[in-house]
Amino acid sequence: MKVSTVFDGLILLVLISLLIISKDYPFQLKLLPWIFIPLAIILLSIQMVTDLRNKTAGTHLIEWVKAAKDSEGKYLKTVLWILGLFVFLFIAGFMVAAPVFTVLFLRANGESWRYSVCLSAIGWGIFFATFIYALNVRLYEGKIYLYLFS
Amino acid sequence: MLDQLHLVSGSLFGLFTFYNLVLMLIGIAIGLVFGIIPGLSGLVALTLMLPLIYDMDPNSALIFLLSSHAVVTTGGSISAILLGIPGTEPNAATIIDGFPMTQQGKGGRALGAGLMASMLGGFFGALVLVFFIPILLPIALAFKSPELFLLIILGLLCIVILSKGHLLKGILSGVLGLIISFVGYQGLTAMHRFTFGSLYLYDGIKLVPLGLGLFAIPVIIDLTAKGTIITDKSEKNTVRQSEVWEGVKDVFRHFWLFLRCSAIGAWMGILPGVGGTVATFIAYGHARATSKNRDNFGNGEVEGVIGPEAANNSKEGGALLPTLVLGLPGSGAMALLLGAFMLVGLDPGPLFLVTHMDIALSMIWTLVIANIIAAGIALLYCRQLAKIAYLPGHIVASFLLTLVFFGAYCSRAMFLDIVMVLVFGAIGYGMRAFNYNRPAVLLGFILGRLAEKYFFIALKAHGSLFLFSSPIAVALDVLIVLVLFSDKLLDWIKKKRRRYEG
Repeated sequence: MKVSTVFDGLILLVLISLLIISKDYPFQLKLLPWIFIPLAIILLSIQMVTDLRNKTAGTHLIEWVKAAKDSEGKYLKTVLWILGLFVFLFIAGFMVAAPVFTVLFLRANGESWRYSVCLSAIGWGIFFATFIYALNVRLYEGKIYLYLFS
Repeated sequence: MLDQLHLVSGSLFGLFTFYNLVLMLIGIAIGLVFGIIPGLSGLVALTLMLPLIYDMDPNSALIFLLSSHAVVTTGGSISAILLGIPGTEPNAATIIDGFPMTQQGKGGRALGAGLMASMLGGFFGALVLVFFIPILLPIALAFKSPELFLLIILGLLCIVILSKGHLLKGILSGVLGLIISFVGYQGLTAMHRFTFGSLYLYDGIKLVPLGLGLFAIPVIIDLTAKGTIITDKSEKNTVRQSEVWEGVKDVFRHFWLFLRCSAIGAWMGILPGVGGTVATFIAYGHARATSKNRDNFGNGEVEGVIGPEAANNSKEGGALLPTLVLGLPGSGAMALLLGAFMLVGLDPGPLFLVTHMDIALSMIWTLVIANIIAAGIALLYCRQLAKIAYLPGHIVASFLLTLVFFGAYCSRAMFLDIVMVLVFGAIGYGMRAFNYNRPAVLLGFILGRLAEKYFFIALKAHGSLFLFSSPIAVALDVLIVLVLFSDKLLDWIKKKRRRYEG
């Protein structure tokens, strides 16, 4: 199976679910969704059939997994870093997570400790000074802060 | 007359307040940096800047965004000419002659010509706006809800059909954008749709997390995984200041070419969905076709730099025309700008110019002044600015990623907006990988709510036959059908012509 077919299939599933959910809505609420969701389903189905019939174009799931392995898992690692930052932000908030993440991320990508710490300190120092002290922007404080100080 | 002069001068002086000037300079700096770094685009810059405008007054917010957007391609021309890598997609045409000039040691001249053509091109685009707004405004005011609904459909169709190669996915992307816009509260019935009982979704999906997810996350993933795009630092990007002025003079030596290419760019900007890349390549083709030195094109001809760079910046003025007059964005960036209108409480559409002409004039002045300042900075510091393009991908990505999350959070102080960025980031990455048209998703999303509003108003006012309620509506119907079947129609005409000639 092709990777694009899996992606299209997931969108198709979401669209069908939305169509089922909207069947009990009042007329005016469901009118446009009932015009455009079936249209999208038809277009997506045509796309999937065309993709499946065209055997040469597109990447198959097995080839895609192999290519991901060949790139030494760089894409997977990047996604994990993004998810890691998200969890870190949720727990520790911006003030802690942003600079620490930058240091760790730069270090993991081959920069020296000194360079990573300096770059992060300068970058986020200017940033926080501008947004927190000059513009009074309120940042997310994180679960730990909320647990300890609220 | 005196009133109009007062309005024009007032909007200019309004721009020169300390606050607005600082915002403009920050916007220009962001635009130049995002233009210079290959892989980052004006769209990513705009999505990152959107969360910052919430507390600004409408005029300042639009100055901030537009000053950045207007100069992105100016930044892109620096990396195109000195490094042979387009900072933004539309700068690709500049490389053909700009980079060979650098290799021949004439980088300064190419840069001078490119930056001067960019600056004057931006000026030309602003003039197009000033000239056409009074002409088009009375026509736009004749548009009522049925015509506005049809105009939105026409705009969406133009954009998806002109998205080369993947027609089906283009249309599908626009429709998916429309469907995303249906989530949340519907004013007409005072009920909620597709919220799954979540309070967060009651207010609908917001532009900032959607834009950041669709455009910024895929860029960050690529920047980190692929590293920097420029690894070879051995290229000579020596620039002598005397050569730069020679390049500036070149624009005036070929002023007629500059005017023609600027006109091409402005016209391409007005047409929805054509895009900057097409505009610059058409301008390049025109410059080559009309030049006495056409054999030298591709080997470092200065006219090959002036043409695309003039078109590149003049298209922004053209693109603003349908956005301001009709509330109909012709590109992803213009859709974001239109979204920004709504974020700061402005109602886009024909009435906008009647009620907020001062803001429209201020936007035109912004186009002019931002281009002048950006070209000045770029001419003075081009060598230093070019070094930005060498920044390793992971350094840019480390700050960019946190800024994306920060931007998503600070727009409404809701942590779930960051979750939405991740969700749309995954969707955006898949869409880019499988050739969906992401700007069309954005356009569908922004126009979806407006389309629904006009649809029901038209239905109430004109009944079920509202699609044929006026001559303008019928003309738009015909145009929609023509656009929808334009490919088939062109094929049919070509076949007939071939048969006739054969």
